[in-house]
Amino acid sequence: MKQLEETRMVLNLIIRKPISLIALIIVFGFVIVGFLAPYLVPYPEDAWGLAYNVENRFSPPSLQHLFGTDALGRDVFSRVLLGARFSLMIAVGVIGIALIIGIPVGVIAGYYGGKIGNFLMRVTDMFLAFPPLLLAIVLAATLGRGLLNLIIALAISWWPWYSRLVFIQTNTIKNMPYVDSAKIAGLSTFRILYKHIIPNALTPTIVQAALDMGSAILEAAGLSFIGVGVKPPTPEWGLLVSEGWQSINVAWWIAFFPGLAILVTVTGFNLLADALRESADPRLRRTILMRLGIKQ
Amino acid sequence: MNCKAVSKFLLIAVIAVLIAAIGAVVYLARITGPTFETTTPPTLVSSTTPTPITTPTIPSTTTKSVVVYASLSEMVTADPSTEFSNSILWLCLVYEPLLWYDPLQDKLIPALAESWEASEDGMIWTFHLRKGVVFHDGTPFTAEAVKSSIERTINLGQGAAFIWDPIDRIEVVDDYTVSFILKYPAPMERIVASSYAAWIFSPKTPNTPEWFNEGNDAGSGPYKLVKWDPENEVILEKFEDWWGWKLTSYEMASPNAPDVFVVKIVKDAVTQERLVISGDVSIAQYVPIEDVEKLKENPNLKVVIKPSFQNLLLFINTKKSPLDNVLVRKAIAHAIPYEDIVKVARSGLAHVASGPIPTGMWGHSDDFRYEYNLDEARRLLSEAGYPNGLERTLTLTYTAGDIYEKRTAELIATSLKKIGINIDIRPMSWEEQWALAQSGWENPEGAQDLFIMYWWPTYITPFDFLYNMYHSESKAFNLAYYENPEFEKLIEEAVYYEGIDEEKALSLYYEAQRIAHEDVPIIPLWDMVDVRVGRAEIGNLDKAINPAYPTVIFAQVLSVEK
Repeated sequence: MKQLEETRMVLNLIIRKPISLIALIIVFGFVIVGFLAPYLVPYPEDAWGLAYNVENRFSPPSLQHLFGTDALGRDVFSRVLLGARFSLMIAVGVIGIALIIGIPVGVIAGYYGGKIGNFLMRVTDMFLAFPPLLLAIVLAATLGRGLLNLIIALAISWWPWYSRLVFIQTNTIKNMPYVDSAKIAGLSTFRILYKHIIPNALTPTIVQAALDMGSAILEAAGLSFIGVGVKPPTPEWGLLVSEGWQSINVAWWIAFFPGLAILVTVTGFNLLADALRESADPRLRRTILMRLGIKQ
Repeated sequence: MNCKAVSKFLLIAVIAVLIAAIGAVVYLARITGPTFETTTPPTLVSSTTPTPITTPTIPSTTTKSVVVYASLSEMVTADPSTEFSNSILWLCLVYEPLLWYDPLQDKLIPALAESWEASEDGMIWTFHLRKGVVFHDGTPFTAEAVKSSIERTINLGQGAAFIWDPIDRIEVVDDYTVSFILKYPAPMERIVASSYAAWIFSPKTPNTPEWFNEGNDAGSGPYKLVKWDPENEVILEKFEDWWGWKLTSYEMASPNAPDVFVVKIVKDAVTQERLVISGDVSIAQYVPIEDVEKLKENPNLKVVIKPSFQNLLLFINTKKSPLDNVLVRKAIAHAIPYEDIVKVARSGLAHVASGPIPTGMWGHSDDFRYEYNLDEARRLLSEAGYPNGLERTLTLTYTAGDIYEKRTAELIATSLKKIGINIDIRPMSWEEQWALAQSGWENPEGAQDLFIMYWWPTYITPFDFLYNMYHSESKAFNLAYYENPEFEKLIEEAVYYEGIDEEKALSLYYEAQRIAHEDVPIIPLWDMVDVRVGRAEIGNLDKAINPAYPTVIFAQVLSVEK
């Protein structure tokens, strides 16, 4: 009951701030487009890279082709639209896998401590020792190009951050009186972890994960741009920018629109994450409420 | 908190702009080296970077004419005996062979040799050497240098050393006469004009690759090497004592040749285009092909379009089912939209290939094109037992980063889908895809099904194409794993007759190509047309390009104002 109220409050806060509202709309729109893209695109064959049109290369934006056409005469608007789906898949996939690896490692290391904890955290540190983007580039290049490989590469460079976060939380929570009483009551370790520790350790991690969605999209685009990401003719945004870069002097629109899509989406995610963090932080929340003239 | 949101937005905007402009960043990083001004009057100008700009041999007070040539790929080695890669770009200016070959006029141009003759049976070739030639280290050039250079190349046995395979021994007749005694007849006049491994260097050279790779040269050519920084730039300076400057009418020399020639590595076509438009480089090796029409209209630039002997070919894994069936291979050959590929991939700047020998080269014939006809392709496919297309998805690999190969691959995949063949396009690094393709000799199931690759000849002979890509002994480049004894016998016979009876050699090469055309191990796609863009003030750019020596700009024939 209390949690529901909390959620309503956070939502309320977001909607009352115009910039957060815009962010929410962007993210919401992105998700919808991501789901429905295959049904929305005006030229599905162009979007999937199944067709080309020699006579229609490099036509500038027009009513027929809102974002113009590319070097193979394909509709850029369709490709950008379908690209939203791949970006959504990447964002969800990367963060999801990173959480699936990161949370158990952090919880186990934090709860048991000692040798196991030390071992797990040193492994985590090993991954943290590499600059994340560099690690992702190396992994993606080793695994070879492809959507799944790209997601795996990014997730591997991502999970240690979550396991760190969860580890610190678990460390604090495991000494709480309610955990002690659960132990005395004879609950199994699994039950203690599952019922008492994970739910309480998760909040900051979830906020962080939401915050990272935008970065995941940006990094995936970066990897595709430098040629270690998805395979052509997948209309991934980073790949679209890199394809368009070659013809930037004759046809600016091929690189511009996918670039714009990246900019808008990533900005949307980041603003939303900011709003979330503000409302989750009690001190920040109070100042906002005061400014908005709401009594708590 | 609005202010924070705005700053966040700005931050992300900046990041996004940065990513979109990665090329520009690369460009800036590339330009931190020395910069040469090439506008009139061309002066050697030092940039503000703290690094030493010029070697002490170029006093910065005198006015020197400078030409900067942007190369797309970096240099690797500098040993004239073994180098078989990008250094051709400057080796042709620093070293000289006995003869040059101009394939467009089918003419040999004397270099270190003034005249030559072959014995009746083509087994003994005698070259009469030029007098009064000195190497850059001051050593006079004699027949002994020819013998020692070629023998070093043969003994090291690396790179293109195979061109000397016909040689049994080299005899020094006198100081200015040298004879090659052969094991079998061969067209030595063309072999000595090879683009690799044919260089003559000073006999006083320390005989180690390290010495060369430290940036020393031992050549006799019109330019000497003054700076060797293979990943960034190579600087050449005029060799005043070159014999060619003194001749009044030598076609390989111009009185206004640049004093300094700089090869600058700029690894991106868009950046090269920017640099040549702004005048920071004088000649660009590659510009985005679709911009060529626009560049032609620029009064400050000159676009030179010349044939090249480079072509792009599609190799088929002939040892893997269902591609071991010649009908399936023929179906694929008829389902490739050759004309569209030339229009899309090269903006029309290529010829649809007809056989593996490029347009304009001797041995080429127009009889070996496959017709783009989807009905015929479908018919062949059902005749082969696949009326509904292939079940297995075929993999097609190409070199990642090559935009022409990428577009070609995409069009092939799109078109093959129409006859029910699904293609998985896989970009790979060149080393990786080459290794994978070579592994197919051992394990054809593990190798890719289709493979796109360029070829260009070491010296101008059809044998170079037909042996390297089609002969079963050539494990490194016959990546279709094609084995046909009849074909192999024909080309071996043909190369034998090259030195004796060219007509006979031609008809044998024709017959060999006809067999390959029927067996379809390889589908030649297009023959490249070369585009170089130079500043308008650089004269004779057209003369400085020779398709037998790809990527080279013969700076000694350029004409620039002081």
